[in-house]
Amino acid sequence: MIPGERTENRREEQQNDPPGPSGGSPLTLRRQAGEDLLAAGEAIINRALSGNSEAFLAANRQQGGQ
Amino acid sequence: MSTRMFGAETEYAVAGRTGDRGGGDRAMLVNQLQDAAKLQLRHLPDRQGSGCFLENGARFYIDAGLHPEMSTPECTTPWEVVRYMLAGDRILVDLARQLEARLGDGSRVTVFKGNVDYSGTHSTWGAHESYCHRAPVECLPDALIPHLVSRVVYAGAGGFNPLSPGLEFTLSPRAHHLTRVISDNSTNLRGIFHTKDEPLSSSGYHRLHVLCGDGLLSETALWLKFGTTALVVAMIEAGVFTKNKVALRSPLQALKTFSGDPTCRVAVKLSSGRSATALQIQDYYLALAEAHLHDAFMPDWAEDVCGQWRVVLESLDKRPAEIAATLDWAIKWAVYEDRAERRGFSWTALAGWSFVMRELRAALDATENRGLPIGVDLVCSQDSPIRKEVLAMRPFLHARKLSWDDLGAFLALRQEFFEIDSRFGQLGAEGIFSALDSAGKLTHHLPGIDRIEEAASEPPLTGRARLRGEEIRRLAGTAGRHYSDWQGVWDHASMRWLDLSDPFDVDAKWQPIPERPGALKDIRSQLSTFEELLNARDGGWTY
Repeated sequence: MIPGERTENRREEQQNDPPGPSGGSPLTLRRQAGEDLLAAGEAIINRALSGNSEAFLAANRQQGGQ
Repeated sequence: MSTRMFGAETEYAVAGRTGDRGGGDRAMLVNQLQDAAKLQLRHLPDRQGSGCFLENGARFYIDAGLHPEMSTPECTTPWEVVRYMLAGDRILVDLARQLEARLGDGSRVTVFKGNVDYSGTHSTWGAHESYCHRAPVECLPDALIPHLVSRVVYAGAGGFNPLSPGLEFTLSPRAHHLTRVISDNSTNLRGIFHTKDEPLSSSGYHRLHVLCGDGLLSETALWLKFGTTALVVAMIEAGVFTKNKVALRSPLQALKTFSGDPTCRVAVKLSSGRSATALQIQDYYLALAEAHLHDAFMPDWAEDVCGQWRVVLESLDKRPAEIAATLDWAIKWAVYEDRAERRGFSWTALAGWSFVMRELRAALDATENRGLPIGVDLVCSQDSPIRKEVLAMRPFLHARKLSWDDLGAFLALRQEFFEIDSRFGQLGAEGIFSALDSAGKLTHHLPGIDRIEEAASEPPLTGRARLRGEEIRRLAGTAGRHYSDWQGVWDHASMRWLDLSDPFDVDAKWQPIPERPGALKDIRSQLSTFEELLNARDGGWTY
């Protein structure tokens, strides 16, 4: 799926999504959760990153395992 | 209704940030973590190794590759196994914090739950599953493999192909480390189906050991992974699969095809000559489970699993946005796609750069510079050993509106995404998944997966794990006298043992260890003799 297809899917779903009792259907609420996730994700990731990913990966290098 | 039993083994990655006294040494940190576990946790030493069994019935030890491993106690419901996995995570985080405090030099001990390395070592470590069963072992591969291959649509951790020189999103990073359909090896040449059958019990039980899965964080994904696979095992045991209609023509290729397709739309060839998508294969298993829902061999939670299984498959098929904040891979897919766009890279552009990197890697590896990192300097140099291939890429780049000027940004983004993917599984508040969850941005929780703190010290309600946990709590602190393993608790002073060889046992049966003349004078020096004694016992023992 490419980003454009995803957006198109969202449009189609919105047209078919029946309204729920509290003004938003379960589908709408879950879709809203996805959008909230993206809004929050950027800031949370920026806080989590070390600033030097190459050094981070080298320092966390793992060897072996099952 | 029947009772199923299963458990999880989670290998963690540990890393340290050096403090004043060199706290960054991984071997030292891992050993100190094990020491901390023995100091802080009520336990009995493992009779057959350097680890320990805990009062919640779990086992903690250091596995190959210096990976701390937590095995859950034997569980009988999918809620329970997820609960004990989360309790294991919490125990590890607490131990790490306690170790940091003890070191007292500013060292940081970080624990990760993902199971691939992105630094170039091509290492992977396990998130194994065990299912107790009585099915004829030879029936398992044909019936089970299509399920294991297609369940990645909800049981994949998401991330990137760790073996690719590009940046290729995958539903299952672990899948790229599998090189066989069936294998008896767990550290090399791993297979989708692992033939290991170490029952750790008696009475005709087998233990299906699944090693192809990813380490997960989503409760829904974990719950489904165990719930659906346990139902498939129950159906195999009941003889439901006389002929598997979704047998795959090329299971390994199918796993990689499904892993590379977040749309869940790509079909693979079946042995029958027909084609099927991962969702169609999963739907086949689900329909079978629903048809047998009320049969005596099914557990009483089968209806719950089938209900949630159907909801997730239908969401993946018709409304993927519904599970964008629920399943591990879907959460990552949404976040990575969004972040790449913010950095000026469309998903199509990333695919283009990945193709370029694969071509250049292959070209470089065909020269005497095999293995050399591919960076901007190497690509742009007039003396580059792959100058010809670089020039040959121009039409491809031009057709996709890509430019060598962006190679540096692509390589930086690749490293950044690898760090993000590692930090998704970082345990504790600083981990990305944890932070998103704490911020209320995820929809992965399931009712009934709760009381995690309690599960860190309380064993499950039934089965031998209950008995083991109770005895460990009673006997902890008597190291040197009492030991535990999966099949028993051993009192080496009074020469008695608690027989836990039946995993479904609910009554404590202490009994004498059969003696052999001249043996057992020095308990510690005689540990290996116990196994010989047991093997020699009438009726035999199965290890």
